Amino acid sequence: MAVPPAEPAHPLRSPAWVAFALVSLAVPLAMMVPDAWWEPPPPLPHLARMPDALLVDRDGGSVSLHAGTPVFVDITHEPCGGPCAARTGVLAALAHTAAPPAMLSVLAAPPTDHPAQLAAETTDRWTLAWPAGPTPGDLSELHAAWVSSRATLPASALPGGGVLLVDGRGSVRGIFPANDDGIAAAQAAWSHLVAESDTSP
Amino acid sequence: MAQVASTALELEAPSGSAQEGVAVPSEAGARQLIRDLVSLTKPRLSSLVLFTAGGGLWMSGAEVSWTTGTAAVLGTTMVVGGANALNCYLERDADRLMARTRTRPLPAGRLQPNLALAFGLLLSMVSVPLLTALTTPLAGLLAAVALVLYVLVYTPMKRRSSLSTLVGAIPGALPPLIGWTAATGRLDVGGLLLFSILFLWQIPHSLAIGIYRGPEYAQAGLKVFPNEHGLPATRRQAFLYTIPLIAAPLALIPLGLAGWCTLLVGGGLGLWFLGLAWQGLRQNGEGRWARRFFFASLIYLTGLFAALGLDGLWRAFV
Repeated sequence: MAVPPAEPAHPLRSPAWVAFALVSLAVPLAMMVPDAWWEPPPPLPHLARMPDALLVDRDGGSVSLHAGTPVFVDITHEPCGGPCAARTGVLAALAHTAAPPAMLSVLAAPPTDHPAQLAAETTDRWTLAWPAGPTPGDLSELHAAWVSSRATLPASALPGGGVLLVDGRGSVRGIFPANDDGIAAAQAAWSHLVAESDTSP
Repeated sequence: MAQVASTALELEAPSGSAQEGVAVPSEAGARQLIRDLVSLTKPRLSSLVLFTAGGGLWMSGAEVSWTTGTAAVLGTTMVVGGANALNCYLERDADRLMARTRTRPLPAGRLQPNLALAFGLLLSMVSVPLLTALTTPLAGLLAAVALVLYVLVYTPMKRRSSLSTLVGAIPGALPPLIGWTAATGRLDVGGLLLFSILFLWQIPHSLAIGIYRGPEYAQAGLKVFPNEHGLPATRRQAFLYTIPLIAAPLALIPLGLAGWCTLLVGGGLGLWFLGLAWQGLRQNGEGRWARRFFFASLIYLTGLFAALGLDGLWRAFV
């Protein structure tokens, strides 16, 4: 009995056509991927140095910007309103992220109802340095370094003055405006700096 | 590279075709070969893309360089030509069974299938990167989607279901959107309306062809709506799709992309076209009505695009 000839397979059954589809779609899709996916971001710059002032927190513990831990720093040397509160808002937002970074809010001569202080007290993740801890000279030097760091960028780029990101060796690696964009940029820079710290000897 | 791809893809070609592998006859010169290769791209269809993609580019209102504009129109035409060539390659057996298509280069044996395959792949593989690099990645992506849908979904689906008409209408409607996104880099309401006009237009247009060429399609094993669902249902579908078709261009007017010409010419031709669709519901002269309806669809689309063009000129120069 003759065996009926098998029906020929359709040419599209070849897996090569799947490769054709994938290649066709991959070219434009690859171009749509942001450049950041392909290239590691450049290292954060060294913008300025913070002095190694000794600060004492509210519980009497000492705090140093050269202690090996990256930290976001905000310094209120004199009582101020909106800008300081805005910077404090940035730190507060960072404090409530899934992996909150280390933060240092220094109040040099705050009144008890200072907005920055009040905001800082709403979270337990802040390290606060009080005027009783550092000597006035230390604070003035720290504040001057903070101001000069911000001065590397135009004031218009830093509404609210800007929050500093200081690496574990006292070097200012980023300045972030006190707004939503600043919060996002600060988070990205923090991740970058932590990764950099993990890989550096 | 095309030759390598050609070898890899030329698998399990349907047998029973004596003309498979026939070399290009020696007396056929380079000119004939070029003519055959060009005919694989279905040049009448591809040349229509010049207008639809160019129209989308122009109507976007974005300022584009000559390089971008040329790459958009040329790239879209090439991707459509490549898809058509690959379709010819994949459907060469079915094409032998239809009077309308049996004189094409592949079923007629004037061209080797491998050469057609390599040509289609070459056009496709050049045009998508061209669009991506010289216009916008989104335009390149839409072109790639059109290519894959047409070649790998619509073409095999034609043998299985008449729903293939809806699937095939998507790549058919993408050229103006490709032109639009080549200029703007984003999907806007205006571009999507142009897409929807061409999408909706293709349904009654294809249904009309399906009516008067139904027996040929059946002989070739291709599923079309009239053969699957009957002529009354087909005429009903043609009428129903014509309603949103004549409304869609009018939606361009409040967006500032169309004006009086579109309202008068597009609206007038649309009502005439809708009237023909209505006649179809009431008449039994199937073949004659279908041919009239088919030609009316061509007149409607040409008139509509001419009106859109005139409105565009008015906006640009007045």
